[in-house]
Amino acid sequence: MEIKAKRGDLLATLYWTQSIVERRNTMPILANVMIEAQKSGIRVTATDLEVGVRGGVDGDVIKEGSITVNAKKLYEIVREVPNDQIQLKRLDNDWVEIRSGKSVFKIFGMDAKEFPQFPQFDSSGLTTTPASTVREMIERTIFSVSTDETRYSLNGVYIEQSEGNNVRMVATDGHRLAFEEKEVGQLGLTKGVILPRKGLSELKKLLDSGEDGAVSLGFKENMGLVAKDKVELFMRLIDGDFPDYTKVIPVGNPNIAKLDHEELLRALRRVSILSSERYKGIKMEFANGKLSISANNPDLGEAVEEVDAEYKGKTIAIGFNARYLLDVLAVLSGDGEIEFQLKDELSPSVIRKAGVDGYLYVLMPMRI
Amino acid sequence: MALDEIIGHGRPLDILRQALASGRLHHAYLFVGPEGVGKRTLAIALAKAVHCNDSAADFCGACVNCTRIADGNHPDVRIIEPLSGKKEISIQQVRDFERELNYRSFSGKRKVMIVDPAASMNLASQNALLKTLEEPPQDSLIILIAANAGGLLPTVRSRCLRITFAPLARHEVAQYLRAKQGMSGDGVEFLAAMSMGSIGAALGLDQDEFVKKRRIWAGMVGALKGGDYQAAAAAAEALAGKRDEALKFLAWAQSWYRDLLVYGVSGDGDALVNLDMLEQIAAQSAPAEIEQCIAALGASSRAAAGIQRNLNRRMVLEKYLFAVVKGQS
Repeated sequence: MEIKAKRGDLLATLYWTQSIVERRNTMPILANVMIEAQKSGIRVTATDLEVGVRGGVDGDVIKEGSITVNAKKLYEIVREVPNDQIQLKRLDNDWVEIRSGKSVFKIFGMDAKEFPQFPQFDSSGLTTTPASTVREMIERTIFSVSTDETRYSLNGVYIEQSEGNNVRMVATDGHRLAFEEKEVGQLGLTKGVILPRKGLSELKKLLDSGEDGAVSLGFKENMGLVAKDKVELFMRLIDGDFPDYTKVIPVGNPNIAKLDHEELLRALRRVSILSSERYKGIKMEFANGKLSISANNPDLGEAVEEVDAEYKGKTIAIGFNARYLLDVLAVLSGDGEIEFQLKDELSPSVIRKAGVDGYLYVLMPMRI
Repeated sequence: MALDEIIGHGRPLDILRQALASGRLHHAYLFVGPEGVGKRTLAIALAKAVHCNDSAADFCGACVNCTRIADGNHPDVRIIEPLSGKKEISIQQVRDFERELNYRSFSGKRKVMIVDPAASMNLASQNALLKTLEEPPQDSLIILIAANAGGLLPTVRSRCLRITFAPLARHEVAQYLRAKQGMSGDGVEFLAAMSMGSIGAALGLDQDEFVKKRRIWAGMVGALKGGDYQAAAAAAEALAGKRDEALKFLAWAQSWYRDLLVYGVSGDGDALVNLDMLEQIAAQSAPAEIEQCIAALGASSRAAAGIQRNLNRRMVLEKYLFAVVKGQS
């Protein structure tokens, strides 16, 4: 293998790969990146077995072939070399020579055959959709993913094909559930799958970078793939059954309250200062035309604040975790009205935002 | 390479071959048997047989998947051992591999986790493993390797299918030493006999050194007269200095009393472990002393277990040698 590339191009791709490379190193080869030089171009791949990144590099292929080398060292070398042109060449015994200007490095690599193989996706199996849609769906669900390591099937966001071109993403940790349905396209999923949190946060990083454009999505039975610009991101899917979330979403809660987003957010922030550190419990009392939010902490004191609300139902005093409310208000940013659909003190409530039709948030009450 | 080329272990191999052929591998196996007989070799062979591209229900040793497994680079095969410098497998290691098991397998075949030695998991780690053993994620295969099942919680043991490995026959060890290690000459038979059926022990044995030591030990044991407690105490003191040394002595003492026993009953010089000491054995072995030999054999293994549990070495050895001396009077 022998390639020539611009330092900047190579560095940009290596940046993505080296952030993925595993630090724990359970398998020696995972500390390496794979460099493949083919007629179709140069590709660099790295993985920690949970997430994998494959990036294309513009450059000249002088001789085809592939090799793996230590990701961190390669990144550091490419970052520091003096010249804009850089040349990589595979020597005998899996050594790699890196030349740039007057500097020559020789580092030893490992045979690329040993590197985990990612599935090939042909473009026909992929759906293209605006990056902003995907980013928004991830942002509005990922915060509800469970951090309880023993409940693996909740450690990710469930994604499934809904009617037509709509796609649903759902996340829950048992106390709350975030649900969003949007038009994305045909993902080729016959059954829902669970995307791990780590993969999604890497994906979000990728979507946040560069220009907003289109991304391509696709699934194989054990992997999800997202491609944006020249970078492809693989995610290994979590094995397990996601709970039947449709049973959790209450339908027809009779008492509906409408509040101004900004006003509610500020009031919650203020009152929650005095809620207990651990459970962040606050009491919300909905009565005719108003909502009174209060927190009571035996160690500190108490706080009460009243907010105007459009509410005509019976008086309900219900306890919530303020953190869970603040989380959802943060991702539904922007002006508008927040709608609470309540049943009684002990039943789950639904929270929606006017104008954001595909989204709903189910929140379990706390006993206070 | 193939399953057929694994030395010995006919029964375990039969069980696994059948399971492979019918696609009915258990989710968790417990391989129990003496150190160095090939439990890990067989566990890795099983992982290769699961993943091999070329042969069904067997492995070729040459395809991509087989070489990846051999080099520790297969994404679906993981060996969990104590981290370097540590004696125990920590609960964090167990949690990490449980998390990995909960991902869908990379290749679409089974995810294999080999824990070796399983007894080095501390109580917390073993308890952490319980839930996974009871409700393993789809397509997982967990292999626990242990020298004896005693170091594992009963709850762990009962959730695994136990496969017991016997020591290898002498000719099997000799065959391995000749074929794989390129050894030849009389030394091979001697090593094979002294290894007590463990290839690991045969490879770890320093032959010359061992022969010298053994002669000293044999002289010492032979010199112990009935009722001579003073000599026994002096011998115990000499042996108690190093833990390794004491354990090696006791292992040899077991082989020695075994030989006396075997020779006493059968008079067959070929079945001995201490092949080259036939004369001494013939001189010391007498049919009338069979019960004594059995008692001494039991006492040696109890003493070895005591030292492994870190009891005071000198006291353990004194107790053991006193028992021997008492038996001879």
